[in-house]
Formats: sequence, C-alpha cells, structure tokens
Amino acid sequence: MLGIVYSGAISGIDGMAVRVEADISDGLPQFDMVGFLASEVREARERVRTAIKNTGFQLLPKRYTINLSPADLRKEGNGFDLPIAVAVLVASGVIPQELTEGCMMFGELGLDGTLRPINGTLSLVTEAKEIGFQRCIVPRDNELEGSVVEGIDVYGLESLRAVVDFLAGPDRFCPGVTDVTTLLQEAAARSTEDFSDINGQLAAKRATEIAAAGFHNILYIGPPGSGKSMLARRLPSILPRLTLSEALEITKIYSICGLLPREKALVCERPFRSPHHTISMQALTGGGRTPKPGEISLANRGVLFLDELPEFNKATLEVLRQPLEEHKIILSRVRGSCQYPANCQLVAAMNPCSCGYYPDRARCSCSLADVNRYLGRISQPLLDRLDICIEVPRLEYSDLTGTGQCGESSEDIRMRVEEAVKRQQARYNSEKILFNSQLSPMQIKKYCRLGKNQQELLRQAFQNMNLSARAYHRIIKVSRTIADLGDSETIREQHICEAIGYRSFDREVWR
Amino acid sequence: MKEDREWLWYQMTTILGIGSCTIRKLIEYAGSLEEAVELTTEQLEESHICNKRMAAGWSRACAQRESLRKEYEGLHRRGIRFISIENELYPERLKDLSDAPCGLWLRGRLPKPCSPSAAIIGSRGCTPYGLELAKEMGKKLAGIGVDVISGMAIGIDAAGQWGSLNSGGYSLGILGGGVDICYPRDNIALYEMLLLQGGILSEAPPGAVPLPALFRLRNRLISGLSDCVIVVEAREKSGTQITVNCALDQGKEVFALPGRMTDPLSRGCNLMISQGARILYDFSELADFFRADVKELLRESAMPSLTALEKMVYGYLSDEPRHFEEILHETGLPVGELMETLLHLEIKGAAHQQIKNYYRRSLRME
Repeated sequence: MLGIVYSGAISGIDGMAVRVEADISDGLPQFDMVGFLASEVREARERVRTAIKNTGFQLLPKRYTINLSPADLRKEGNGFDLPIAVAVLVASGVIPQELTEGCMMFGELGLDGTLRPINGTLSLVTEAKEIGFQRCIVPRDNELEGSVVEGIDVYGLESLRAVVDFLAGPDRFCPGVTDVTTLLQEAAARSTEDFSDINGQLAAKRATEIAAAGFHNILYIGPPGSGKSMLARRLPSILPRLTLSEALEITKIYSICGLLPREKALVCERPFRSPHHTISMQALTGGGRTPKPGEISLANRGVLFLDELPEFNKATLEVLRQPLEEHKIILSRVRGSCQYPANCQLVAAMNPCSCGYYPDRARCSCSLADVNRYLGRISQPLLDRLDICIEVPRLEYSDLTGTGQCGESSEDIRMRVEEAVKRQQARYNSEKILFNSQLSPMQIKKYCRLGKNQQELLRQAFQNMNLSARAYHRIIKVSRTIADLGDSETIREQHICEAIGYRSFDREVWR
Repeated sequence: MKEDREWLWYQMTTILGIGSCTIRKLIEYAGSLEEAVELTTEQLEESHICNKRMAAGWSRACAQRESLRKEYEGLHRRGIRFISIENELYPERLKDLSDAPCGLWLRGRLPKPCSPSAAIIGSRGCTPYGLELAKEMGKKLAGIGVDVISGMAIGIDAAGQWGSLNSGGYSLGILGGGVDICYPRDNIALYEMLLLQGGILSEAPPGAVPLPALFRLRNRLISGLSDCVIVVEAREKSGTQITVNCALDQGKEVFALPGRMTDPLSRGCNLMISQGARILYDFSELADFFRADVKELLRESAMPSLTALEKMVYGYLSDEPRHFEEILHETGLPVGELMETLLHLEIKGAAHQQIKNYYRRSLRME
C-alpha cells in the first residue's frame, strides 16, 4: 500500500514543498529511504521506527520504501521525521489517506513519539499557504512562530499520538493564534536603549539621525570611551518601525538559523548585530558546506555594527563591498547556491590611530606614519560605501555628570526620521529604491537637481578643499537626506554645507 | 685624466666601513690617491689606520673591481651622478668642513652655488601647528628665492620641503642611505617631486641601507649646505639637536621657533633659545637674515572679508585644532548652521580642517 504526505525543505530563506511517499510491499523485512538525503534525514529511519512502536502501532515485517520528492533537491534538517512516520502509518492503513489531504506537517520525533521543535517553521508555513494548503501540523514549540502566517491554520501538537488523533478529528483542536500587530506595537514600546541616555555629542547624534533617515552607512571615528558604540547601539531605536513584511523576512532568517527563541512568535525589533573583529569571512557573509546565513544577513533590515573597523581582517571586510551595493548575497557552494537578503545598514566605529587619541598629542605618541598605516587598513572602496563619517570627540566632564544638555528621546527623533522616509518613498514610488542612499548616479541627476548657487558652492568646495571625485555623489546623496529631514523639496546651500561636513575622510586630510 | 681621478675616488668611497677621514689618512699614508687605491690589505694593516673589519672590506672591494667599474659606467643610466671632492660641481660650502665627504651621489640637480639656502628641521612626531608652519616657512622661503635643505624625514622635514616645492622653489633632500632608496618610504611622492624640481644627495653609495649611524653623518651635510638652520619643533632630546650642534660647529646661524613652556615638542626649541639661538618670532626675522624684501615675505596676509556670523565663529577658533562639538557648545548654533559657516570659513581660507571635524584658524601673521 502507498501513503503520501506533504512536508517542506528550506532553500535559502524560502520553503519548498516536499512530497513524502511510503510504500509497503512483500519481501525481506527492510526499511529503505531514498531521495538525496542528508545524514540527519537518513537517520530518521531509526527514530521513526522506534517512535511508531512506542506510540503503540505495530510495524509489519515487510519491505518499507520511503521516497522524498523532488529527487534532485537535497533534503536537510530535522523536520522530516513526522511526515515519514505519518506516511508509513497511512501506508499501513492506520490513517486513511484522505485525512492527510490539504495538510502539511513538519517535526522531529523522539524515540517515545514526542514532537521536538524544528528550524525554519515560518518559511515552511508560508510556503504551505502559498501552494494552497489549509492546515499545517508543527511541533508545539513552533506553534507561535507558525501561526504568524495568516490564511492557514497552524496546529502545534506534542506527540505522534496527538497527530494521529488530530488527523482523525481535526475539529476537536484549535489552531494557534498570534496577534502580529499588537506584538509589533508592544516591541516598539519596550525598547530599552534611548538617545536621551547620551549627553552632549550633538553633532554625532545629528549625523546618526541623518544616517537613519536615508539608510546611509555611517562611520564613527573617535578616541576610546567617547560613546561610539553607545551611539551605534541606539541607532535601531530611531530607525522607522518595522513593517510586518520586514518582520517576517527577519524572522525567517532567524528561524532558519535556530536563533528565534521558542517563546517568541516574531522578531519585532530591528536586529543589531555586532560581531567581534576576529570574525571569519564565512561567519560574516554566510557559508559552510551547506550554506547558512552570516552576520550580514542576520543584520538584514537592521544594523550591522563593526566596532574597531581596522582590526578586522582586511579580506573579511572586502567581501562586504558587493552585498552592500546589492543588498543580497549569493553563496555558491558544492551543494548548490542560495541567496540570502543582506539589506543592512553598516555602522562602523574606529579609533583615529592605534593608541586611539590622535590628534590629541598630549596622549597620542603615534607617528604620522603609524596613523596612516592604521587608516590604511581600510580600503578606499569600502570607505566609499560609508556615506557619512563623523568624529566623536572625547567627552567633557560636564557631559558625563549630566549637567550638559540632555538630548531628545529616540521617539522624537524617530518621528522626524519617519517623516523623511515617507517623503523619500513618495518620491521614489516609480523606482525600485526606497532610500536616498540607494540612488544611482543617473537617479541623482533626476532627483537631486542643484541650482546655480548650489553648484557654485560645490565647485568652490571641491577646489579649495581638495575633495575627491568619489566624494561628489556621496555628498549629494547625504544633502538630499538632510533636505528631506528639513522638509525641503529642493536641496539648499545649507544642506550641501552640512553634507560636506559629514564626508568621509580622504587620506590626504591626515597627512 | 680628470675622469680617471673620479674613478679612483669612486673606488675609495664605495668601500663600506671606510669613511672620509680614513680615506684622507690613507692618501696621506700612501702619498697620493693613485697609490692609495693600489694599497694591499697587508699594507693597510701595517699602517694601523684600518682595523681588521675595514681591511676585510677593502680586500673584498679590490677583488670586485671589475664589477665596480661596470657599475660606475652604468651610473648615469640610473640617473645618478657621482661627484668627488675634486669635481668642479662639488659644493663649495662642504669643502670647508673638516670632515668633508670625499664623494657625493646625486639625483636631480644641486643647488646653484651662490643661491641662499636654509635648513628646515624638526621632529618627526610633530603637532599640526608645527607641520603647517613648516610648510608655510618653505613657501615663504621659496618666495624670496631661498633653497630649502632638509632630510626628507616624515614630519617637519617633509612639510618644509613640500612647502618650497609647491611654490616652485628649489629643495634638496639629503639622505642617510643611498640616493636610489626612498627612505622613509611614505615620502615617495616627495622623493619623486624632488627628482623633478630639486635634488637628492647622499654621502653613502647607491644601495646603502639607511642605518642610524649614517643619519648622524647626514645631519652635518644638512647644516653644512645651509646658510642657517631653522628648528620648527624639537623635543629636548632629539636628532634635531645633532644637526644644530653641527651647525654651531660650522658657525651657522640657528633659528628656533619659540613654543609654550609646557609643550614637550617645543622644549628643545626653547632650550636652544635660552642657549643663544635666534628667536624666530616673525617671518620678518628671516627677511632680515637673507636681506630680502619684508613685503615679499609677508604677502598674502590680508584677511578675507567675513560676514558677522563667520566673524563670530572665527572668534571661537584658535590655533589649536578644536572639535566641532566644542565649537557647537560655545556658539550655541544649530549643527547645520555651524557646519555651513565653518565650510564658508574654510572656502575663504580663514579656517582649516586639520583632520576630520577638527577645525582651527589658518596660519596668518596679524
């Protein structure tokens, strides 16, 4: 007899339907599995047989053949135990075939028949809904995550016995419910890190606000203890609120990596990833024999913070160049290639020299050659991708004790940022881009028209300040964002002046 | 005949470990240059002028005479010139030295024999102020036709030479190692510029690795080729002191830039002043020394016209670089407006951004 059950595998961050077939025929007692299986799927054989026995069903001494289709897609992960077990039970006649129709299932089985959590539930359930399934069976621990998807009933069950009962009478069970909108709102109210924690540093705060409004990459330079990391950590709190589709995209990635806590249905905050500078290239971009998302994908729709930028391995940093432009990364490995989103905002922090105090000669004893060597560790192409660069000065005592000005709260700043973002989205609704930082030179010509006075100002600045041609587009993009923040449709002189102030350093300046 | 003697000098001066003084003693011992070149290693040891190591170097050089000849003949192809002490190109100023080098290697060209020259020297680790001032000094000196001699080191040396070269002046870099080796490597741009518009001179043969001992020797050439030595910034103990001592031995005028009492980088200068160096309190001092037109020296000092706001912000700037945040606090202006004002000041040349977001007044003598 034949039993057919549907399940899914993960490819990239998306699910793919997999048809699990079980056949029982006469012959020597055997349990064979085919279908391009990874070893964790191959081992399902022992778990499934024992779990079925311990749930109270009898396996006959016959020849069992299991096939996972499509045969050319490599099946990985621990989610195939349950569908295989159910397919076997269908083939044995325990469960009638028609009861499994319209239902997709995933789950790892314990030897006692309990269902254990799996990774990537969200992607799998989304795929199930898109293909047109009405129900999904997931392990109890994954119910919250799965029920985020609307338009499909997700049932979290705790054992193989419960699954059999469920299939016999689904009406006695209630699908899981997650209120996504409330979750997102609650998360926004919960954020703990706030810009009002930072005293002083007005210029750096303003630069951070501009970076948030235009999704510009930003570089902080400053001595140790000046608050670079503090600023960076608070950047997510002023970024525009997550939309549902963004939250889903982030959650998929976290779920695939097994980083989503069991009690959480959704990642509701923008990610802030801060890898240590000893990170390897694979860990940053993603990789491995069977590709897994790296830090750059985990920071998708959020902030990738690289503290002590020059301490990173040079080759590791260089791989960031292409994903930063294309907002996605394609990994090609032996077992095929897959694509992960990498739409993150790069925030980098560094000291001006290896001791950290240049140009404070009272404390810094680095020679100019040392300073230049330290800066030379970062390549110019990477610097070109950092639109905004700001020096964060050492804090004064009055700043520390709080007698200085206490800044605005993140909420106030975010209001302005969201206004600016709206303006950008209205402007670019016919384009593929969302933010000023993504403007191509052609689009700059179209959307960032400069008047005669503004052009003259730029010309003078270029002449007198020895700016490089590469700085030109960056300055215009940033001034566009400053204009958006200032509720101005045209770029004015003051916007350009401010943008020039935030330009990334040219090496010459340090000599 | 003359050409032959150059070759003889060349053989003598390329031997590692044998310096000008030893060569002179050897010539005296042998009777003449021709005989000195033919000295055998045994004779050398008998003379008690050379120790074992020097003698070993001598015999090695004698064995390689063939290849040395080839190298000598190929020098001009590498753009290098050998100038012996008997050559008519040899700078008059150096001939007066008690330990004048017997041979010099040159790339580019030498300063004109009669043109005035000044050495701009100072620390490698210097303040932005010192750097800017050295550059300005080079510029001013070039303006009144004074050559700038220096050691091409990072910091004050290079800044002074750049200042001169950028204003179309002549500058001579004196190296410790061979003239074909750019040391320090970071100054390759300056090195190339000197080849075009100035000269590079060394006492060590091409290919000689720049060793610390060579730099002490080089310093006496810097002061020797200059009419005066200008010390911009120096710590109490520094290599600059060696050059100054050489200058004093050679009877050259020493100028020192006064600095603050607490500034370790000016301590050397202040000490020199207390010991009798001339205080360089104004560029006009140099005009006085070189008998040049003061007006020419102080040109371009006129203040550009500033708006009221710019004047206000300018008032908050000082000679020391100040961070944007500090200025922001004191002026109380919004971030955008202050950045705009500072940019205009920069464009007008009244302010200068030393490194990112650190601003200071441009140098001008008011």
